[in-house]
Amino acid sequence: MATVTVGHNGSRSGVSKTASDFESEFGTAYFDADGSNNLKISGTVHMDNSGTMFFKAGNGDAVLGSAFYANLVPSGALVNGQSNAKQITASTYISSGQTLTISEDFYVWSDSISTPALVIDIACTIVNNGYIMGQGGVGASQGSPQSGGPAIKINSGVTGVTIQNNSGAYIAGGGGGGNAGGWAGSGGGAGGAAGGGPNGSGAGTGGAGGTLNATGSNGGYGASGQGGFGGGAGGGGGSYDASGPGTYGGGGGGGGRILPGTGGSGGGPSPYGYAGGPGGSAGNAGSGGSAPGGGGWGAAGGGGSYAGGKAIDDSGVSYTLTNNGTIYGAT
Amino acid sequence: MAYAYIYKGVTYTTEAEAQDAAAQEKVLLENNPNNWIGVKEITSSDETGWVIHPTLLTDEQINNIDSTKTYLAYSVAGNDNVFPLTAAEVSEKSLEFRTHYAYNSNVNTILKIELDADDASRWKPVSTITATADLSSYLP
Repeated sequence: MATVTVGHNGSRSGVSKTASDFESEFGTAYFDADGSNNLKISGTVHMDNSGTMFFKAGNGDAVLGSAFYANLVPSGALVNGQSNAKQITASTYISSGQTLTISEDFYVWSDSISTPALVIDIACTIVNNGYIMGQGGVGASQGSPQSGGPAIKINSGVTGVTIQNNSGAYIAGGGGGGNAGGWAGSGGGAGGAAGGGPNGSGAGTGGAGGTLNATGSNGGYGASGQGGFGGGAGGGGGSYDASGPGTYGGGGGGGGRILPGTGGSGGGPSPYGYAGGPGGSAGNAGSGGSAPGGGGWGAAGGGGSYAGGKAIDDSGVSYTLTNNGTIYGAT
Repeated sequence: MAYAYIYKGVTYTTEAEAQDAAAQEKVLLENNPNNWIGVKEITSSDETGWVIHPTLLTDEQINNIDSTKTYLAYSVAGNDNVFPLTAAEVSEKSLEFRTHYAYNSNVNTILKIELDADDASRWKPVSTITATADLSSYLP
């Protein structure tokens, strides 16, 4: 059975090595191409020094194991210094019956609540040592609030799937956005969702969602309230002071993409105001306030109605799961 | 000046309507666990990996759970996802997850709001009202 390891922290270009070279240097390569025991890649090879590898073949194909072809790598660009792949599909890397391993500290992620971070479309084994995270739902007042997106989706009718979540690894659905907060903005859910920003003169702007391994931005001050604070997980809700000089309160804090992450605080109350609800920490739900906070990983946003994303959406099929790490959200 | 009342994210025209919704919520909290917990049967073992069966147990199945089987349970409002669980452990988790749900939904609180004269979708909070139905026991 061929195994593909996805992950990197650095890069080299134009590398051509034998499988035994990789094995002696990194301790993980057992690749055999064309029966010659050579691994030939025209393009760029990204790798770290701890034995994890991530290939980006120039022609998009590579030969691994038993005459097995795969498009090895999507864009290898680092995001906030983090090795990552966005919105991937298992069959891009492996064929039916084979194993896709996600390395330690590697992020598989999504920036859309309707697109899972990882789609499993073939019978296979997924071994996760890193982070698989869905997109969070935006907080209210910036369009409609949203539920969080899934981390993994097994396509309908696909059987023979095994998911092994190892110690230290995370599979996390995005947090739900905070529900409507009136004249203050609600917090964005964990998973990089923006906080809500009331649309009007004097309103605080919603905080932007955080990029990989980063907190979301704080919501802006409104004429009558403080913005919620960005969170490593859910963002805090903005506050509103009915006695304030303006119509609108603060914007919601953005949700972050830190696992496990800490929720952002809600905007503080003035003597006659209403504090914003804090964002959910790790996988906790956001809570209500002048404007509710966004949900933590896999958890609902404050004020109900907007659910966390599933960790694993099984599409109604059975699968095998081993968890020695952390799973946030429904399976 | 127009007012309205929000309960669990739903806006009602009168306080009486919101109070009725809170009373109905109390019935739900006693009888309908699928609002706060998802439960699936699992088979196999830690050694070989657990087979997760896709069908969610119904409210009735959770309230009368089969003690011969093993389960996975997750919180609808929170993020918890735990397995393997015995039937007794599922019942314990159900109470725990109900608290998450009740807290997240502010089940004991109705928010009175003042609607914007020009755009009724905009509002500002006026005061909070405790639900007449006693829902405090469901909260942390």
